[in-house]
Amino acid sequence: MSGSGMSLWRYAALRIVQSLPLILGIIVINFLLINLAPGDPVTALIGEFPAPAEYIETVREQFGLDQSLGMRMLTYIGNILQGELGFSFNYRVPVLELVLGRLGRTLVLMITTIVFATAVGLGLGIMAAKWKDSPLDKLAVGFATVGYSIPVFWSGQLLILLFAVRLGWLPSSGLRSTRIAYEGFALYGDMARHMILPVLALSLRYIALTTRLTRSSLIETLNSDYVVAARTRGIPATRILWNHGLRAAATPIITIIGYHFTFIVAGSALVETVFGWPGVGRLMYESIGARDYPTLLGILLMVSIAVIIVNLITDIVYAFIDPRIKYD
Amino acid sequence: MTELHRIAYYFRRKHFAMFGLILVLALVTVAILAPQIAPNDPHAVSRARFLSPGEDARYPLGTDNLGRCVLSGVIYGARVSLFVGLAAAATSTFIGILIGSLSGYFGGKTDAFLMRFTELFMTIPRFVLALIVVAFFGSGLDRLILVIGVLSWPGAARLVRSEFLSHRNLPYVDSGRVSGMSHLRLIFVEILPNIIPPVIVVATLDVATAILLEASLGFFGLGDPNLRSWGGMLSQAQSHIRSAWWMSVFPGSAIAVTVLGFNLVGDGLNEAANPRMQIEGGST
Amino acid sequence: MSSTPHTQTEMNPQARPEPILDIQNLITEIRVPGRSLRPVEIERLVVPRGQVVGIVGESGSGKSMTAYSILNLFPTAAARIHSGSILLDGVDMVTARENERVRIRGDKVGMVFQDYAMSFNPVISIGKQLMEQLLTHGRHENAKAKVLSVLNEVGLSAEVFSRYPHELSGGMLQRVGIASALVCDPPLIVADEPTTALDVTVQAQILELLKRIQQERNLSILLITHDLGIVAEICDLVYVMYVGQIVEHGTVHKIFKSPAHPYTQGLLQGASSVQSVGTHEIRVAIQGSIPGLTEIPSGCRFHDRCPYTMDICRTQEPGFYEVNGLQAACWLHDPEHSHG
Repeated sequence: MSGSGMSLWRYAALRIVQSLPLILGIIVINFLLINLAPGDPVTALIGEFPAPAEYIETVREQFGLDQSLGMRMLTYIGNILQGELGFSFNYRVPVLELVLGRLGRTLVLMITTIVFATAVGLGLGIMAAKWKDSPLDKLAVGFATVGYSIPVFWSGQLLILLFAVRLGWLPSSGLRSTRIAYEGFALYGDMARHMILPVLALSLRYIALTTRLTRSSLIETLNSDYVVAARTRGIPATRILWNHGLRAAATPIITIIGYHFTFIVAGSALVETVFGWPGVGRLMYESIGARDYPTLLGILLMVSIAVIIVNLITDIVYAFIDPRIKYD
Repeated sequence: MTELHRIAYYFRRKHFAMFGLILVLALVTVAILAPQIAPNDPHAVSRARFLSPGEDARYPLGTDNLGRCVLSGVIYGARVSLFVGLAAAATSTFIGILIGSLSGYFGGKTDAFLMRFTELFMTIPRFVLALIVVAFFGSGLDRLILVIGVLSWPGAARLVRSEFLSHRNLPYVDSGRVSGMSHLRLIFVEILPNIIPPVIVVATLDVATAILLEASLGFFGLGDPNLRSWGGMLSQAQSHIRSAWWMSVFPGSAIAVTVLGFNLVGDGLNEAANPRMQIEGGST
Repeated sequence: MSSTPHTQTEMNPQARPEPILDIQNLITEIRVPGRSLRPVEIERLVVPRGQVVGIVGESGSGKSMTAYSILNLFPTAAARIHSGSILLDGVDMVTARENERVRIRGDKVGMVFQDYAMSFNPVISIGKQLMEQLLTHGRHENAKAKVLSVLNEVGLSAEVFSRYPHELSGGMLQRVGIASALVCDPPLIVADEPTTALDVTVQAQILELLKRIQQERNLSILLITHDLGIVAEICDLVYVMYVGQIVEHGTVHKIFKSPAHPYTQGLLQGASSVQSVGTHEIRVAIQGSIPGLTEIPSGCRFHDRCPYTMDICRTQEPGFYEVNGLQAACWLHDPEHSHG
């Protein structure tokens, strides 16, 4: 029973080792950005703030700015690996603390979106594939094609125009109401109300993508030889759809969640800006306005590493779902 | 030529692809003829601020917070979006062809190294990096094109690589190799012309993504400050969303229609060039 | 065994039991834009219980479509049964409701494919797929033990239960294919070119396996093949098919000894000419090639390739004539037209 290929654990370990150079590459890119930026690298490390001379001196020393480029890079990598991402003068807190403090709100938005969009897209995709070429299918495909072409920030604005300005049903911005101080359970309800529009705006593109991919992979699977063979064995069509079809559809859905993770990062930055949602994305927008470079670079680094981790998990989940992958 | 005929036939048959093509051609026309069709100077501020559509015949789609004509902004914005989209996609396709062909043609260690490099670029959150680069280096049109192009090549590179991998051991390449052709000649003169159709598909879809990325940067206030762009207009609309809906609706529709047009053409080309994948395209 | 209570077997055990499969006047059509093609037009085809019946013909003769017709299940939505009856163990697969047909498929008839590699879901283990079949047919008791025993029966170890399709060789996968056909203990197996895609040495093993299982279980097998060598080795009866129609049938012994239809004669000449080199491929010693479904000739479908064509062959379809214990659809054997 030992099997001819690698075990899942060994595969996971291998993928983790393979990810390390990527993390190093990301750090090097950050370093190059700082040093290629016009003007003194100190500006990139501090931001455009009138920092006290002693602090500038400390930064110069800490990042080894008087040393050769090679040494500087090693120093920089060392600093990053110790979690030293610099200090935000705009907010007067260390960058790491600043970003981690906002991370929760962004994650809530992203995770809700992923769950909601996957459920809706999966449902639409299944219906479209099951009744292929029906009016329902054409509607779903049309929706998916248009939905995929609409920028998230504009769908956000349209939702505000419709549900907040025109109908007055939902709040258009912020994390919670400022006029009434809700407490306990009501506070969560209030926050949920504030989340509806951002989540809808962010979901549109993912629903579109999930619908398209679920539909196409289901259609492909349901026409595949092994499905025909399963039907000759008397497996009922509905069972084939749920057991074989959805197993095949799982792959593209994981692809969307995993490999398109960078897009949801960009999307949430834009949506947070539209809806004044005080997460990491909004922080980026504010930091651009304030020329707060350490914060921006810190976000880039942390998001990049998050992407690597998500890709890693995606690969492992893939290998778990599809036994063929480990043996390649 | 036969390939062209096949694609033309396909486009006539598939209405969605034809529709996309018409959208794209119409947009290109609008962009070229912008000075002739725009009713006003897109940058001219006036005292007629926040005019709603139809309120003043001189401003059919109303005016913004500075009294600028929204319609003229949308028309001139087509120039920015199309120019950045096409030029950035050309840049990314060029880099993609370069890296993908070397990787696929030589294989082995070259391939392994270049693919790790590509993976690195796929990992970096493009939007965040683009923001930072533009924030550091400024947001002229040339820099926007360069940034978007340089950050968007991995898709094209991976496609070109896989095409080269399937071509490099075909008889015509082998015979070229035996007859002493140089690697450069084999790559660019012998193999490359054969893989143009799929590359055009990726390039077309890349135009759509580049336009979206440019608009997103514009929305973050990082567009070319001297030009009116759709993303920039939406950024201004954001502050006046409760009072001036037209500042958001028209430029936003322009982005959506443009991106839709290129996506439909890309999907159509994809299905035409690759009938096996018809299921994949999905848009019928 | 039988699902209907009024079969001859139960009413009168002494009588010869009804055949496991009885196809009558079957027409299968494929609808393409503007027209309908008929890949199968079979007047009568019978598989008696406990016997191995072969269908031979070149590729394009409609053999595989016949196999799918028996299950009334087609790989493409464009194909369907136009008319006729297919009595499978007493149930007409043409008129039965779909949910009844689903119950019969895999339970009363097992199917073995040529593309063994494509007949299993690549991401589900072999054991799970065989279990799924047993369970959907309501056989919950000792399901796992049953799967293991049938794997053993086809010569595979219990280890295969937890393996995935890509981990098995072609020969092993085809054994799994046979196991899946057998797992519900059906009285009939339809095997569509079961050995064609395999290496020559493996072909012999699979054929041996089919033969052994047939004898041990007293199975009925409908074997579809283009390989006359396989027919000679395993079949009791044989139907020769040409462009969707049966042109000759009878016992294997008689057909090989004195074929009555010119097409069969041609097939056998082709086969014997290559038997010496070790393969059993049909090298048709007949001029021309098999016509497509869009260009079916009038009259006898074989007339433009036949060395004995007469005027009537071009205009009228022949009926069956008995010749030395064989049934052949050929005007040569019509007393009025034969030249003697």
